[in-house]
Amino acid sequence: MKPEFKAPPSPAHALIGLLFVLLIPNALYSKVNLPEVPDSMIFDVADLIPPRHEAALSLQLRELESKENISIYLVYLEGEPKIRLDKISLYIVERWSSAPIYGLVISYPGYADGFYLLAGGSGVPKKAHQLLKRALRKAEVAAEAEREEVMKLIGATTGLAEALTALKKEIKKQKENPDYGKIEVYDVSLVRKLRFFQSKFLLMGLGGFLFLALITFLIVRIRARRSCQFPETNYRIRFGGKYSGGNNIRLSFKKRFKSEMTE
Amino acid sequence: MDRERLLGDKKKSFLNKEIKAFEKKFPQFRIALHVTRLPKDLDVRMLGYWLLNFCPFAEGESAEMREGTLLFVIDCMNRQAGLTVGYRLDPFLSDDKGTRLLAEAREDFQSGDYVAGMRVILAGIRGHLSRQCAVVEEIAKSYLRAPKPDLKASR
Repeated sequence: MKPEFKAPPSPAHALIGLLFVLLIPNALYSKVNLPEVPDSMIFDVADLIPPRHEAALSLQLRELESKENISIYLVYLEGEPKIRLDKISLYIVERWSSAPIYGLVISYPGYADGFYLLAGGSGVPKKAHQLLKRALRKAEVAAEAEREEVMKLIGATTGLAEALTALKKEIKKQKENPDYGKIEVYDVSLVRKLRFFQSKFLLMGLGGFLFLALITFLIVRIRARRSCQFPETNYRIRFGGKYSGGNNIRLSFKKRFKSEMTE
Repeated sequence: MDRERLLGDKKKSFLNKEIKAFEKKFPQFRIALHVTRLPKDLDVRMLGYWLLNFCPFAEGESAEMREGTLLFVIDCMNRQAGLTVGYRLDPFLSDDKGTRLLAEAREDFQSGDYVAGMRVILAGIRGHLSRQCAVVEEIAKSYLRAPKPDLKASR
């Protein structure tokens, strides 16, 4: 049986493959009818958000963009999109946002999770990934407090706005002080240093103790050398003695030998 | 007083130093030592009594000095020692305590080393009197600290 021979892929084939890979998503995205950046920062196709709330939220988001340079968009689509929300949200943000920090709350009618959150930007360093996750979590918590779908979306947007403002402040603090928020790690070299100094401290302590002992010894010696003064006493003359009444203090120090008694 | 030279000169000077140190510590008191040989029937206590009351040890002795004297009498013949104290010392050195202090020197006296015995006794008396002095001082201080009755108010 003659073996089949397959020619290796030529550069032309590779180029076609690459174009295929690159163009397919673009072809898909081209199906999304994305308008220009809305001035109100809110893109509500389904008219879910009441105008009163929309105006207030829009004002808040625009203020945030102008003051803090943080862009947050609220997008409510007409129906379920053909592309996944995470991909479409990235596409939206790339097109609309020019701020260093951005956020997006996106949803559509009947979306099981309620809404999809996206945040990031060039103003958020990689090291602040945990902080970003925390900010998203805060926004979720803010939305969980609400019951209605509209209010959940508004709550998530305002929560995200607050969390991203706080995040920006945190990043600024960390930039100003690199040690800010860092947990002190138990350093082994410090223990070594302490051990090194311990002998010094011990010697100092011993010296101090000896000094105190010497002072105490001197005080005791000086106190011992101090003369003792007894108080004057009234006495009664005994046995006619003018100066002493005599005492019964006597010691006999005769040597007592054991007598060897023999019967 | 060692007329019969029962103590050696060296030992005597050594003992003198001890006695001076004692008298420096207790300036109110004085130590006197009489080493002698007594007749068989004479008791050292009796001799001590007579010496202290009727025989001045030095010329121009004040009554206070004699009242604060500790007189040791050592009878080498009958091998007995006695201690007689003046009235000033009586409240601070009882007969029992004195006897116990003398008994500490029994072995030295028996071996004929009176100076060593005297050193032991002096050390004992010194310690005892120091303790007594501390007690007396503490009593005096507590008395001073204690609230005094207002006699004017009671009138």
